[in-house]
Amino acid sequence: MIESIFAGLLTGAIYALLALAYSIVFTTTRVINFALGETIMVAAMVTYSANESWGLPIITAVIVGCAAAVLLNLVIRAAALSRLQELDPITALLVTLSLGLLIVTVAQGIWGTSTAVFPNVFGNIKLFNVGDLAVTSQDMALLIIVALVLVGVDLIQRKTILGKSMQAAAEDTDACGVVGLNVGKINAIAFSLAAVLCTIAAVLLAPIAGANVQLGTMVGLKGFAAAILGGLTRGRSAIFGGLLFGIGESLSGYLFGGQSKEIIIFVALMIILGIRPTGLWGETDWKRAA
Amino acid sequence: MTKKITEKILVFLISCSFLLVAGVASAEIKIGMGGIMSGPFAAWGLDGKSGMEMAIEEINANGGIKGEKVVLLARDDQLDTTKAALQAEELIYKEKVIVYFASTITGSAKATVPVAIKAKIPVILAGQQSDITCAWQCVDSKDKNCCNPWVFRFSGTVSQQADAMVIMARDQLKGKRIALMHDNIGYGLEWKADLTKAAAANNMEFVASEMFPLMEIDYTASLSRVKKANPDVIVVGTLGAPAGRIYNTMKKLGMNQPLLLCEAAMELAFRTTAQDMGDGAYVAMTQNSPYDKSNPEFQAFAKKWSQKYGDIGYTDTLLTQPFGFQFYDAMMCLAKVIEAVGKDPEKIREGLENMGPCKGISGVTYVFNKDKHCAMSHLVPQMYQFKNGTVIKPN
Repeated sequence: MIESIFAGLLTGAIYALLALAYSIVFTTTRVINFALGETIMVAAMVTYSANESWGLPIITAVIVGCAAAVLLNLVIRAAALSRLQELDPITALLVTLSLGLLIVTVAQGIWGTSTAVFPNVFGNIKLFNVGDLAVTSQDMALLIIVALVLVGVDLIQRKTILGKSMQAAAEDTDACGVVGLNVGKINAIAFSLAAVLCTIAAVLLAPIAGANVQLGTMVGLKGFAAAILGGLTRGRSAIFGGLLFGIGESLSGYLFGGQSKEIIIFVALMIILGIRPTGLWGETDWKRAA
Repeated sequence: MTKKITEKILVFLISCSFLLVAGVASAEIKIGMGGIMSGPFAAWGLDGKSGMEMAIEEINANGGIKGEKVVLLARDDQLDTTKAALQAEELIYKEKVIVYFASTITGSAKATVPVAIKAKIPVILAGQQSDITCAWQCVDSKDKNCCNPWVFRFSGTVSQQADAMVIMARDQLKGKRIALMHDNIGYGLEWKADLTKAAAANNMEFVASEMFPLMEIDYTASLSRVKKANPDVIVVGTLGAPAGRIYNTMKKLGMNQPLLLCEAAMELAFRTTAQDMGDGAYVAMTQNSPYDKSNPEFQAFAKKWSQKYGDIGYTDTLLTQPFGFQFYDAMMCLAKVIEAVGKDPEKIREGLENMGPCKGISGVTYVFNKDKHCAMSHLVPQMYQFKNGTVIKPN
């Protein structure tokens, strides 16, 4: 069982990155960008092409992949989301879903349907065991990097003017304008930050799952579910939601069989949302009495 | 008077031009094909389409069939069975194809095969392995458990492989405690049913039977459960990429039991997902291996394929998987039949039944007759092993 819990922690770390990305975009724009899963895919495929086809060293290739992911997200923001804030949330959600499908279709035209071997940046050296499960350099890198990123982003959100500006931009764009905050620039930073998180997820996930145009599909929905579980309105909550989702999913699979994994975790999510609609640690809205 | 003659001449000339166009249009042999060519399972359609195109290119380069060019009309059904059926109708009734190649995917094949049967057009299953569409043991238009007389299969079937795999696990891999893993889609569920049935027929029982979600990142939980049952062989019925991830997770869990995979693991995704290209894993195949040095013609064909279709992932090392060249073989055998009997669908149907042995590029011989519409049912699947990215007979 310990192996399943640890493996769930590793998967949960990936979900946590994606959940945080959803949270950052939502807390800044009040829009859910469902194309974040596809952003992971683009980051992975561009990194792969830069390294394999163009011969760039892997670190340079990752930077190129990250740039592509940032550019994609900024295009999404400029082309659609900046207008969608005024629309109802369902329409906005549908537009991002459609964009995600479009991105996959275009990506298939570029990279085809095969699964490529993504370079393992951190190697596959066995370090120690957790029960029977070998923990490798890749696994430890995943946990350390995700921990650092998550702590860093949490600090930015809570302790810096940028972080507070991002929250303010979602609360009241007019008021932000009055005090001289450039809402457009803040939104662009939020989208870029989400893209960077997606790139990190891509580099950590692709060596395990292989680089292919369906990479984002595997984690996109679960990352969102994890964000909802923890609480979409707070970065920290989304992070814990991701970790809990990964562990819960893996433990369900161990206790009740692989076929029940997804059923149990999503039923649990529905029950939790029934009790706490904003997620386990999400903010609740307060209304003044007078 | 002059006006009337002019009118008659005009009508005559217009009629001639229609006849000329119709004549030109009929001077080609139309072959229809349905399949998935986009999305996560696109490789299963594109490999077949590549095989068809390669065969048709060669046929046309040699003058076509009795001087007529062969034209492939392929449709991407996007895994939508309603769309697949409508596309089959369009190909058969509008485009007037004389033979229809059904999708490799069971759901789409189930939707389109009845369309072709109703229209009395021969339908060919070149990569479709499910017994649901065409059981390999009989031919009968009234018995749903048998192949319909209009349906011809050029591939092996799941049940045929399953029968062989349980014996391989027991006899060649010396398994006494065999575990089964399979995915949660129709393909995996069919493997579970057929492997369980085959095990029972051989007085065997699986010590563990574990289903897993197809699009899964981590298999630690599922494999931990299997490990608890202490198996000495693990048999897996799933596609290439999940099989690769299972292979990787087994390594992480220190599980060294022989891993026996179904033919689907021959797709590139297994070797590109698994560490060390899945070195040491076993695979059951009805076809011959493209790495067989004793068949230089096949090796040359496989390399030519990989060069031609390199953009979908094949390389000099990672050569084609069976489904592509089964479509190639099917088209080449079909071409010989059309050459002999002409373009009438009923005659083609009879011609396929009387085709006689047709040797494929891999060296396998396809055989149909009135009571046998599965061309590979006389073959016994063999066990191969992945070694350095190649697929060879184990020692």
